[in-house]
Order: sequence, then C-alpha cells, then structure tokens
Amino acid sequence: MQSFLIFDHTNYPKTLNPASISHQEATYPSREILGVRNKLKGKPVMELECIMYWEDTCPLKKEGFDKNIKVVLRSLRLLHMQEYMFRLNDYFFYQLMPPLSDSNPFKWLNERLDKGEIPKIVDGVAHFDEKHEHSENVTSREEEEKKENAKHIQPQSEPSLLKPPSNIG
Amino acid sequence: MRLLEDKQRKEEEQNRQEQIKQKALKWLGFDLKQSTTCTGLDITLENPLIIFKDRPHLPSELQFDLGIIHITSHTEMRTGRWLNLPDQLAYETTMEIDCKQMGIRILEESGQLFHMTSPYDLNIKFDKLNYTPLLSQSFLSPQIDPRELDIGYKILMKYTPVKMFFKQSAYRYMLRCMDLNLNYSDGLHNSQYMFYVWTKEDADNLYKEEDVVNKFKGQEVYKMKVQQNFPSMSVTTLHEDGSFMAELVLCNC
Repeated sequence: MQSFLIFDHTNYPKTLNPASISHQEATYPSREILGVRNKLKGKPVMELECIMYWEDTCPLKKEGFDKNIKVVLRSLRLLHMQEYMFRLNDYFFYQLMPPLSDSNPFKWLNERLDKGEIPKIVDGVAHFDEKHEHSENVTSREEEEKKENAKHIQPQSEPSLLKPPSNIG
Repeated sequence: MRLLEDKQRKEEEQNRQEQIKQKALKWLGFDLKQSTTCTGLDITLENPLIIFKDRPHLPSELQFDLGIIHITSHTEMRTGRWLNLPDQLAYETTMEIDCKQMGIRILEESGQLFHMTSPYDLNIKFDKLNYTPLLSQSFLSPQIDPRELDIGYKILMKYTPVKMFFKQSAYRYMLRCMDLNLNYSDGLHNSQYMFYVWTKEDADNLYKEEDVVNKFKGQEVYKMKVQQNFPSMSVTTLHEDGSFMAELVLCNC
C-alpha cells in the first residue's frame, strides 16, 4: 500500500444538511482529513508484525516476553477539527459499531435505562432514578414476597388472549 | 535537659524504626505470584503531524510535529517497590516512549514556515507492577498492604531544553484556531455527542475509590507518581519582521 487517505465531503464548517439540501444540486468539496503517504520509495506505508508464542519452550521466544508486536507507520497527517471529530467518534463508536456487533443494539441500553443503572438524559441533563439506590433490595424483597404469596394463594385461571389455543395446528 | 530530651527522641525513633523493620520482615521473601513476562512492543511512528486550522479551506495551518516516536516495552526484576525492604525484588514492566525532534510550527499563507519551538526531545518512562492475582482488588486487596508495597504507577517525563517563539500574528492565528475548534458549532447536531456510557460498574468503582481514600487518608499511598524534568524553558517574543523583542527564561539550576 503506497498511501491511505480519508476525505471529508461534508463542507464543514458550513456543513451541508442532508435533510434540506438536494444531493444532486449540492457540491461536495473534497478535503483530506487523514493521510498516510509513502515518502520513501520501495517502503510500505505501514508494517505490522505480531508474534505470539504457542509454548514457553518455543526457541524463538525471547526472555521476558509472551508476545511481540512490531509496528512502523510513516508520515501520518491528521487534520483535527473539534466538532467534526466529535461527530465521527459519535457516529462510528455509538451508531455504526453497535448495530454491526449486536443484532439488537438498544436492548442492552433500554434494559439498563429501565433498571436505572444509567442516567436518562433529558435536555442535556442527566437524571438518575431515585429508586435505583435501593432497587436491588426492593426487587429482591418483592420477589420474596411474590414467592411467599404464590405458596398461599392459588392463581385464578383466566383465558389468555395472547396465547393461541393448543388444539389449533 | 535538652540532651536528655534529644536522647529520648532518638530512642523513640529507633524503637519506631525497629517496629517498622519487624513488621516488614513478614514480607521478606514473600511470593507475589507475579507474571514474569510482558507484551514486547516495538512501535515506530515517523513524524505524525496533527494539524489545526482556523478555516479548513484556507492554506495556513498550525502543525504539531510529534517527531520520530519509538515505543518499546520490557519487564525486569527491580528493587524499590517494597518500601521497608530495600533489597526485596518485584517484577516491573517499563514502557518507554521516546520522541525525537518534536516541534510546533505555523504554515503561513505565503507558504513560509514559522517555527514556534526549536526541535526538542521528550522521553517518557511508564513503570507498572506486573500482574498478580493477589492484587485483583487493587488497593483493597486483602492479602497485600499498599503501605508496605508500592503498587502505583510511576511516570517519568524528561524534556530537553525547550525554546518557544511568539509573534503577534502567530498568537492571533492560535486564537483563530481556538475559535473554530472550541467555540464554533455548525448547528446540525441538536443533542450532545456521546463519548461514554456511564454504567453501574463505573459508579461502583467510584464508591470503591472513595473507600480507598477514606482508608488511607493522610498516609503515603499513591495511585500514580508523575515526575517531570525540565532542564530549561524559554519564551521569546518577536516583532513581525522576526527581530527580537523580549525573552523569559526558566532555568532548573
């Protein structure tokens, strides 16, 4: 690989709004924000060598190391723009990666929000659930009470609308 | 009377030292069950440039040249971690970050470079105790007393002499860069950007940290020791034509 480049087409700081601008009419400037170029001919842009030793008796193993990593990166150039970087970080790590790594990315988040383990953010202000402080004790007590009640009270059998009758199919 | 008091003080001090030694003796030859290896790093970054601009479409830019960075790591047995046993050994891993020929400069509209610093070097040594299962709870580990064993990180930063140059246009340009990078918002993002999801584990760790602070309040227990070594530093202000205006020198004599 002789060069590795990433370009910005959003026209930051006068960012094109995708909701209001026609993409056919808009002009997209091309601005390099990350570039790795090879200035030395015959040498690659990046070298990566990783050695993991399968056994301690490996003759290649050096004393005091369990694995060896060698990286060489040449001529990196990064254009830093604060809001732009925030946006990229937000998009990549919290909007793009979770759906790729998890089939239901919001399940974990919603469960934790319901339990009060993470604060709800309303108008930029974090709101902690007051019940959360005693939530573990409360839930455990409620569960115990439910179990005790279940022993004494026989539940009335009610027809469930959600479950289909067993004789169908 | 004074001689008697001095003698009493000396005796008390000797007794205290004896007690400390007696306490420390139980750690003599103690097996920390440490890992004896580390990941061997050999990373080289050749002149990475971090660029700030006042406006992205304009040619001038503020360049932070990080120089030739070489990152290595190794592990070895060292003394000094057991506070009352100076000869007792423990495994330490050192990560060394060596930056050569660093510098800050401004590429002006005319295409000329204004060097805000002369090239300088920075060497960072980061020492940490090798992993041991006995320290799984860090400062609250029941089997280890952090007042006897220093389990904190040690960071030593060494600079070569740093010379900085300023002129009015350079200072103005830095302010313009701050304007774009700190004050400006394009108004497309209504809510705040997400950087981290605060979880219950984080809150638990925070409470644990409070426990540690309460437990070792007023005692010499460190989580991290950072030591910076500046031999000398100077700031020179220049006129727009590059002629000398004034100089402030800080010298570590």
